[in-house]
Amino acid sequence: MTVDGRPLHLMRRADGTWLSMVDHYRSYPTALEATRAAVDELSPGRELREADGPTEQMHMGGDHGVHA
Amino acid sequence: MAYTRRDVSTLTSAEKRRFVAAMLEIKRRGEYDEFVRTHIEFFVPDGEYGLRSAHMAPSFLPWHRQFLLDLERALRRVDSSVTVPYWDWTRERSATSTPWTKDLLGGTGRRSDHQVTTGPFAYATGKWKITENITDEPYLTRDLGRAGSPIALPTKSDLDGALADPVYDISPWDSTCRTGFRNRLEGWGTGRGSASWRNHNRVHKWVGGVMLGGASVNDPVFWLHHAFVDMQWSRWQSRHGGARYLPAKPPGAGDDQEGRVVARQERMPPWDVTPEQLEDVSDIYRYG
Repeated sequence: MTVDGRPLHLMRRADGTWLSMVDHYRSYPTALEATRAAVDELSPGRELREADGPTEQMHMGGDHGVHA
Repeated sequence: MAYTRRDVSTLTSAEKRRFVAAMLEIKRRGEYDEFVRTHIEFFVPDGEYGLRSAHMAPSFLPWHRQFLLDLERALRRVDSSVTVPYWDWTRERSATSTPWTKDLLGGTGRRSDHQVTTGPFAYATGKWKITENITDEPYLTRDLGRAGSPIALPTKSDLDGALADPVYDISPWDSTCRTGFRNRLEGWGTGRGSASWRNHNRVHKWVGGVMLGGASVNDPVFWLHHAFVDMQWSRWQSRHGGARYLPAKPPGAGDDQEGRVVARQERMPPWDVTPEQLEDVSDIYRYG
């Protein structure tokens, strides 16, 4: 997953749910929900730190573009 | 002689000042960011391969105990009177009282971007710039109580539920364990929504901002929270007649958890120390 063209590190829990480095102390049923939760935590104008090349983006509301 | 970790609500003004000054000094020296990096590096969830020593594992408690000891040693090199205070979130439940005061950790973040603008760790002081982070904020963030969608801190009864469990941990030694003191305290639940995060995890969620992510160590409250969590291990041992860390032996061949958890007498990365060596630390510190 990328958010605003930067990769979001998603990880799996043993029960098959997902969590991200942004929202680390709970998990979500799908990778997309874990990404949405991470986006909700990003303030307007802020970005993930790891730099990556720009990619196509899907608009998911708010100010952030999410790409699966 | 053993030193004492105190309830943060009992610190004098001078003690708060010295704790804050020691934190700012290890930050200035670059020592603090090493702790942040270590915590990020050691977040290995149980759905991924590899040894888990810090989270979703029995060594959650000894790992954070050693992590606190390292931080405390760094602080005490600066000022030998300083110890890490604990925040009893079953009693100090307001977003405006201890430890969220201007003379200690500062308060919640402002509405627009959750930036903490009060207290000694506010960005404008120039002394607490965040350099190791998941997102690109250079400032500390918090959203105490999650103003937009409020949650409550765990209660004394939630904590008692963990302390009452007589078994330290149980196979498969991960985040799916429904019983065992360790995961009841660490707080990985099942299902969706508010009930799915408990005790330790729920406090991270309640503080919000940087405390929610892998770089949670950037918020000094991380240590006050973990000192209280660490204290629960000692309380649990007393309540259950010195009950021991489990697993006593490494999971065997064919067990899905073989090589993925730290047994009582195994080395716990990144340190050359075993959980057994950390079960009794009463010669180093105690809780007052």
